[in-house]
Formats: sequence, C-alpha cells, structure tokens
Amino acid sequence: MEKHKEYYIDLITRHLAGELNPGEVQELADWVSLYPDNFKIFEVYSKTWDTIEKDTIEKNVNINEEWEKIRLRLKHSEPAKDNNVKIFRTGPAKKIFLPFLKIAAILIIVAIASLTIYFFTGPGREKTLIATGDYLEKNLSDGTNITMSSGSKLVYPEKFGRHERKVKLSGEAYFNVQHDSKKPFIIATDDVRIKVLGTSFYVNTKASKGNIEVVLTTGKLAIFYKNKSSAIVVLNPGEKAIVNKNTGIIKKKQNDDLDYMSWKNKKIVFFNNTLSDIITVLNRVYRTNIIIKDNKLINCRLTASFDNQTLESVLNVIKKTLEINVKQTETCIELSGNGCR
Amino acid sequence: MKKKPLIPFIKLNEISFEQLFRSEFKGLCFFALRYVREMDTAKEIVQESFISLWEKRDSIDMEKSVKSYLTASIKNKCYNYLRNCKKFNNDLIFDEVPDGEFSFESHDSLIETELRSRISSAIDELPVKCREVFQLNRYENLKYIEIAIKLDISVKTVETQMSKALQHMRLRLGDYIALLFIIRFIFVTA
Repeated sequence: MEKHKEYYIDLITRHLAGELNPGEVQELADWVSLYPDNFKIFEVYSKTWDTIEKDTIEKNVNINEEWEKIRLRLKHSEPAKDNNVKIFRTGPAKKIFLPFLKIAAILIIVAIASLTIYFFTGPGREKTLIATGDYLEKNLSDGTNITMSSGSKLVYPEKFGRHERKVKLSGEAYFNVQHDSKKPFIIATDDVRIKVLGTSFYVNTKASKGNIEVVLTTGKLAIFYKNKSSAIVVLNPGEKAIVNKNTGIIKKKQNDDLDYMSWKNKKIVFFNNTLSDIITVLNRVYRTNIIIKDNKLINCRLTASFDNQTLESVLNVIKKTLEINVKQTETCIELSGNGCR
Repeated sequence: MKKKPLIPFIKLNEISFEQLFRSEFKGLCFFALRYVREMDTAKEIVQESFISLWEKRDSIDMEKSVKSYLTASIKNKCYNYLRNCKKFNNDLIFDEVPDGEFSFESHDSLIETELRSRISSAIDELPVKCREVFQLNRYENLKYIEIAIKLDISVKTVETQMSKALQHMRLRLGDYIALLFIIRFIFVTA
C-alpha cells in the first residue's frame, strides 16, 4: 500500500516537471479523482512545487535582460512596419516619413548583408538532439544520415561552417557520412576526435569501462586526441577501435562483436545460447528489463534467429519453444517455469 | 453613472509599457510554466505576448484589463506550442488554475526573504546526489533524460531522486506554505 503511494508521488513529480506521457497523465488523473485524499496529496505537492518554481523564476529571470531583449525586438520590427505603411501613403505624409524610410532601408540592407555573410561563412546555431523511443534517425544539412540509440545526445549546427563539419556525440550512434573531401566530418566527445571524409561507422561513447568504441563499416576513418593529433589511429573496414579515456591509449583490433548494430536493425542470432545470455542481449537491444524468476530456467538453451521482430514476438517464440511463462509487471518482464525441455 | 471617456482610457505608451513589462513579466512566466513546463519556452511565449500587446495597443480596448489580454494570449500561445510539439496537453485534465488566480506579488519582502532562506536550507539538507538532480532540473532547466546522461545514471534513478527531493521539500515547506495561504486569505478578506 505504502509502495503504491510512492508510485503516485513519482507520477505527480513527473507531471509537475512535465515528464509524463499521455497514458500516464490519464493514469494520474484517474487516481487523483478517485478519492478526495488523493486530490489533497496532489494539491499539497503542486503547491510545494509552485513555491519552488517562484523561487526558480526569481533566480533565473533577469528582468533587465528580458526588457533589453524585448526592447531590441520591438525596435527592429517598428521601422519595417512604418515602411510597409509608407507604400500606401501619398501627399504630405511622405516628407515626414522619408528620414524614417532612409534609416529603415539602411537597417534592412545592413541586416541582409550581415545575415548573408553569416550564413555563407560561419556555422549556424547549435542544436541539441536527444533520441527517445526505440532509436532516432536524423539527416543533417549536408546529407549525412545518423541513427542514434535511445538516450543518446547529438549537438550539431543548423548549417556547417566553411572548413569542417563538426558534431558532438554522447552515447551510441551509427553514422553514414556524405562524402565531401573539402570539408572533413568530425565527431567530438570529450577530448577524442573522430575524423572522416565520407564513410559509415558505429560509435559508442559510453561503452563498458568508460571506453569509447568505434567500428568502421566502409571507407576510412581517423581517431586522435584533440591536443595530440600526431598519435593518430587509422581504421579500415571491419576494424574496431577502443579508446580508453583514462589512459589515453587507443587500441585497434578486428571487430568480433557482430551484434553491434542490433539496437538499430534488431538482427539477433542465438546459437545454443543460455537463457541468461539471451535476456542480456534482449535487454540491450530492446532496452527493457527482463528477469528470470526461477533459477531452474537459467541454463535453458535456445537456437533461433530474429530479424527486426518486436519484443513481443521474440518473447512469444521463447515462451513456446521453452514452454515457460512470461509475465509483464509494472517494472519488468518476468520469466518463470519449472525448467524446460 | 459611468460616462464613456472621450479619449481612450489609458493609452499604452513607452513608459507605461515598460512599467507593465517589468512588474508582470515574472508572474506571467509563472503562469506560462503551468502549461509548458520549460523555462526558456515560457519566457519566449511571454515575450511574444508582450510584443503582440504592443503591436495591437491601438486596437485593444484598454478598459478591459491588459492583464487579461496578456493571460489569454499566453494561454493560446502555450496551447499552440503544445500542439505543435505534439506534447500532450496536461492541463486539459489538470486545469485547476483559473486565469485570474495566479499570483506572484510579493506583498511582503520579509515573508519573501524568509521563504527563500527556507527553500535554500531545505535544498541544502538533501543528500548530495538527490540535491544535484533536483538543482539540475529546477535551476538549470534540464530534462530528466539530460540529467541522466549528464550524471551517467538511469532515468529511473532521476525520477526517484526527484520525487524524494519533492517529498522532502513538502515536509520542510509544508507548514509555511499553509501559513502563506492563510496570510493571503486575511489580506483578501480584510
């Protein structure tokens, strides 16, 4: 019962932080309207949140800065507005508006010129993208295609600069970089740089033991540290680089992890693997939490291959083959049974 | 008997506009936050509403409250934003705040100072990890998933820490918030 309440306090907090999805909003609304006591709990937390929020506003909003912002925006929109009005005016009004028009015209020319220079030379505004759901595919302005796994973060400019195409990555992603020999594509994570011209490859900045892993599919690729670009490691297709952020050592070897793309294409092959190995893979690929409830099941073995199947159908196959029970609970999926065939 | 004024009631000029902006901006951000839940978006929406107020200053009936024009405009913009972002509109279900009833006035700077010091001491009491998560969300406006990535913890942990923090804040601020409401009630009825 107490745990139950904790669960709803969690929901309330996430509601207040704007972190609920539609299903959960409905769930919370149902709970709130169930008993007056529930509503009271909801109200108390809302008020607490509001009080803190006011404090946040006091700390985060600088009224002088905000006023300066709006003043500038109004200043820029006003002359242009007068300019429009001007077109329809005739007669004496012309003289009054003429100086205005001149200033407006100069302002507009300066604005257009600086914008043009800015757009053709400097990189555009930086954008941040965080993948939610299963995975996320993104095409950048140069035609490069990136697939990011859930929770990964990419920072990229709206438009690339003149000399290079630079993005920042935190997490796991697959890059298919559009070839451009004049503008190398660079991925930065901490001090490590991955530089390519046009290739496809996999990067995981959060591999085990705090390492960065890179697997090259096609083309050529270079990895180095920002401040010592002399110690450069070049990868060929099928090779894998492991960058140890602590020691600074970049190791290179033949890639033996054939499942490194399974989070994207959901191609999984089991060859007489134990159930405990299988759920480790499934938890990674489907980002779920499957657990084995009965220890008798741990050493059950299965041979099967799946190609882009849903988790449900994969579990269904396992359930029927091994004759086990699959139960979905609030926090995980439980596998149970009395041993297997 | 009310007479219809010959000249427009109050003409919004540069000076009164600035005064209005300075006195209402924060309160309106608080109002917008109820819908969009993101500080930067809220600030932007309030800015835009002030701009549209300024642009329409000649056509708006100033006898009606300027504040109600602003809140209506903010509400619309928030709904549009939520719709465009395909975010679910929380407040279709939790529309517990009538437009006029958001208050941000600080009547009494003594109460305000007291409240602030209570909030910051309550935050200081939180366990380190919990405090870090809470501050990143509330004071640096990071989403749960951004916090998870930044601190290299799971989103589930962020959720737990956030609700732990809020429960603590409720316990520490609870009485005081109740007191605030009583004080306001006295002011309103007096």
